[in-house]
Amino acid sequence: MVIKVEGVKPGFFRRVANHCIAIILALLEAIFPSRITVRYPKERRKLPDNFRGMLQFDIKKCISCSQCAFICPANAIKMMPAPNGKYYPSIDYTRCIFCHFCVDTCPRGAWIPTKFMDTAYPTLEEMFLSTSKLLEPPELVLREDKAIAELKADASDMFLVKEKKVEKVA
Amino acid sequence: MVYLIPESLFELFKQEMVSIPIIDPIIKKLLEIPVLNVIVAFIFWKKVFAVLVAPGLLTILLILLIIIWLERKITARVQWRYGPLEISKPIGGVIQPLADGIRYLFQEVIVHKDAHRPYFLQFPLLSFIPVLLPILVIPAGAVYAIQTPYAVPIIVGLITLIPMVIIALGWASNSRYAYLGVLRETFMYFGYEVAFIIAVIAMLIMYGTGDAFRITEAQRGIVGAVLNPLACIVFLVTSAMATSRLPFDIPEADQEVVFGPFVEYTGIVFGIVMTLAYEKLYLLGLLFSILFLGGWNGPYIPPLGDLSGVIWLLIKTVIFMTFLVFLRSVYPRFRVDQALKLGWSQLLCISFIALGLAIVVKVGGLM
Amino acid sequence: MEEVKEISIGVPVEPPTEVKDLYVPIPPEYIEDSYKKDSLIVLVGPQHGGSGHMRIILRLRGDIILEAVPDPGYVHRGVEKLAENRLYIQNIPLVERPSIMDCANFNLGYVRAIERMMDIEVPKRAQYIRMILAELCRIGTHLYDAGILSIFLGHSTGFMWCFGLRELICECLTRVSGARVTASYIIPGGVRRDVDDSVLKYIYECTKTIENKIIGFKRIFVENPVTIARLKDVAVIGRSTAIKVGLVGPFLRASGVEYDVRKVEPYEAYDEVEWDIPVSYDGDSYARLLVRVEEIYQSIKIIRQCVDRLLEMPKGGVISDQILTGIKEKEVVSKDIKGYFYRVFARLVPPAGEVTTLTEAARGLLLYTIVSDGKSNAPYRLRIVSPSWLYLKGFMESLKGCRLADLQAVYGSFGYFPPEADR
Repeated sequence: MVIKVEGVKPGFFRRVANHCIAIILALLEAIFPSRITVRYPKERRKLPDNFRGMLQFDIKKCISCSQCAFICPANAIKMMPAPNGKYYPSIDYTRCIFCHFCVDTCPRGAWIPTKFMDTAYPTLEEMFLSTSKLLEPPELVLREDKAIAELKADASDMFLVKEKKVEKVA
Repeated sequence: MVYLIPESLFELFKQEMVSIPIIDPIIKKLLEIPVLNVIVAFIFWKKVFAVLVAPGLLTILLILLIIIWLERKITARVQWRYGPLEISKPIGGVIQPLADGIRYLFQEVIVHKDAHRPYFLQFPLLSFIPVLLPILVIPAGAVYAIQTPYAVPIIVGLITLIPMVIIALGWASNSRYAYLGVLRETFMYFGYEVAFIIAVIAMLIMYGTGDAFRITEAQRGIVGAVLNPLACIVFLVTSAMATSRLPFDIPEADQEVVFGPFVEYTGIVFGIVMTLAYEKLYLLGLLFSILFLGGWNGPYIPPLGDLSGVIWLLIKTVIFMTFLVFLRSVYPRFRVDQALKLGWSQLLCISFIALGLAIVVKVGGLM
Repeated sequence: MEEVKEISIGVPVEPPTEVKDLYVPIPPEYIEDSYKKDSLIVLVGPQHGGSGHMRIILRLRGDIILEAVPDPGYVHRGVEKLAENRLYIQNIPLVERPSIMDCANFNLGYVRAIERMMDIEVPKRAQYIRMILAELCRIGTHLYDAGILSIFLGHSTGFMWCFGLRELICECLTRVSGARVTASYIIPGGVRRDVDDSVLKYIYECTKTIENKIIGFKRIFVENPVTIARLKDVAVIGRSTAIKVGLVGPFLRASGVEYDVRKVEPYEAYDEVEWDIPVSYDGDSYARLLVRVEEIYQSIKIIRQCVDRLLEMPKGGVISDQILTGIKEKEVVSKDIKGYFYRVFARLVPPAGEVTTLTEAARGLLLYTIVSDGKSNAPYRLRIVSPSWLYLKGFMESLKGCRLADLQAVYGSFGYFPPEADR
């Protein structure tokens, strides 16, 4: 039930051996490097399908129940009136914490998660996305990535596997 | 009369020019143009070539560029990342230190109101004096400025002036963390100096002279590192202590005293003080190559002529510097009292044994 | 610790005006006393390369620290007060935020308190998934703390390797829940949805990789003679001092006390898997590092047993039936809560009373107290006592008699995390 852990102060020869082991290990790493950097923005990380990114709205399924606005922990969803008289949600992305409680709440499944995690807006006011902006995925001004990197782990090492493919994000 | 003086000087320069067969045709053409020939002959005069070009000022700047880049790249390779790669991607980001230097030129140099302004600003510039003076006596093959039998003691004496500059810098900063860093620098200075000097004296006894030419001649058969490995190890460890390489970068510990004596420097003055440690490392590298690695011995490369000795010396220096810089990725930092204990007990003992070994070898007539 | 002889010059000294003008929460008599007795006051402030987000006021004599006074509170965000204005279910992302890399343990403690108030039993499959998340976060936190210790000692390779290994943990968390940190995956009654078999197999492979790579980390950092010289016999805390001063977690186990909440009052399914607790009787900084490295191995053992049992168990529900009262499609909802989150949780009102739970977070004992008045759907009072706050006193006590350079080594060996302590 109890494992005894002891830090033994090494003797002289053990210390010299530890010095040599550390230097040789670092030399081997320097000569045969194993790098795990994703060269963003030329490469993108492969994201799983249940990734919690920005949201897209399917207006045909919404019944205006406001359950998503009620449950949001950060009060980022506000119901705004539309020209046809009904109320639909809009997201304030300066508050959203990407917890996807709203996706789990909607009884009709009107919130669709996408894999966007890196959009940029010039001003803070633009980050309040009204309902009409949520119907389509965010507008792609520049897409620089040419490859996908996936972090794979096998019994001895972890490494990045890169393939030249552009991932479908939305 | 006015034309006679440049004529006599021109004859003086032409007698002792560095001969590099590969660019000889260009030099011959330049020597026929009236005013330019004096300037070209002046630069290629052996004494001035040694101080200005190789192994002098221009080489120091080039080696600084390469060694800072190498440190960042090698450390990055060990740490599973890429290092600097953005500025010039096709050649591996080699001119990143140059880009950093240009950025420092554009930053504001702030002198805070508590600092002693004259010393604060002038000492980083005065630091170039003990760095450039030893180049006068370090020969590199056929390119040399002064040949004297006291070359190695002069180099050692001038290298020991550099920590004074750092202590003055930190004291002029007049800040609490600079004060702590200055204390640590002083302690480290006392820690390594004696063992370093005894190791150098051991090698001088073994070769019997302080003249760099005769030391290199004596290493034609076996190199100095094999003749006296204990002095070699002591020299390595004390160079790491002298230039604040990990595991001994105690005066400028980033996490404890926030850069120590250099904490108040910004802008281009900061760039100058950061390169001070690398220049000291370069000088120690040249000394190490001459004493322990056989100086400029190496196969003669015909197209380079006189420069082939220089290239061999620089290759050995860069290998020494790379090894010390690579240690950054292996070791954490010692505490100041542990480093002092190391310097005064273990390193001193080993250096005395090296001295004894050198005396035995000399008296026994093996050299 | 050596006795340093005190030398006084007999000349009256005045503390400089800058120290009087600074707003530091120590009395001016203290400052004057230190100046008269020839000691130096150094403020290792919040903007320092080696102090986290906290100010430590040191009184030095030469190189020896006489006394260390902490000045925490720079990251205080008022989590306990904010929790009084949010629904019970909306507090889950809030309580995860103080300790970001240890999110599952903080999440688990809060959810267990709600479950205990409402007397809800969690299905077995959900218990194993919760244990996997908790142990993954424990490994992540120990790697983070080992990385911070490395960089405080100046070893940048140990820092990069620890954080590179932590990438695997973040990848596992992404595949399970969708977010790299602060998963918000554990809800009262179970977890949000079931995990796939492929994800479980990936987690199993990751444990093998981590076990292999830790050997390299051990060779270059833990068994490095310079590290041993820096950490051995530094800031020793004996067994009785540790209990008196109030240490918790792996730091208590490194001083010889065999206490772990998961063994004393087991929760989830910790008493159904086989694992041991590592204990050391040295009490110095090196022992604190070694205990945490050994705990990584024990966590890997727990994860592997949980994955094996999950793979052979028949697929079933992960949300308890007791919380799904009022829902007709219990079979479907108990496997994935998508679409029913509001209907189940938004009007959750626990009965009136006060409940306390103890959880073993990565850094020690975590205490949650919820007071409910039986009528409102927001808690009347939520009290969190995080492990870093509990051992802050022990950390400051252990600094007496150390050298100035040991401050960073002891800070890293304790793994003090100011956002978690200040909440």
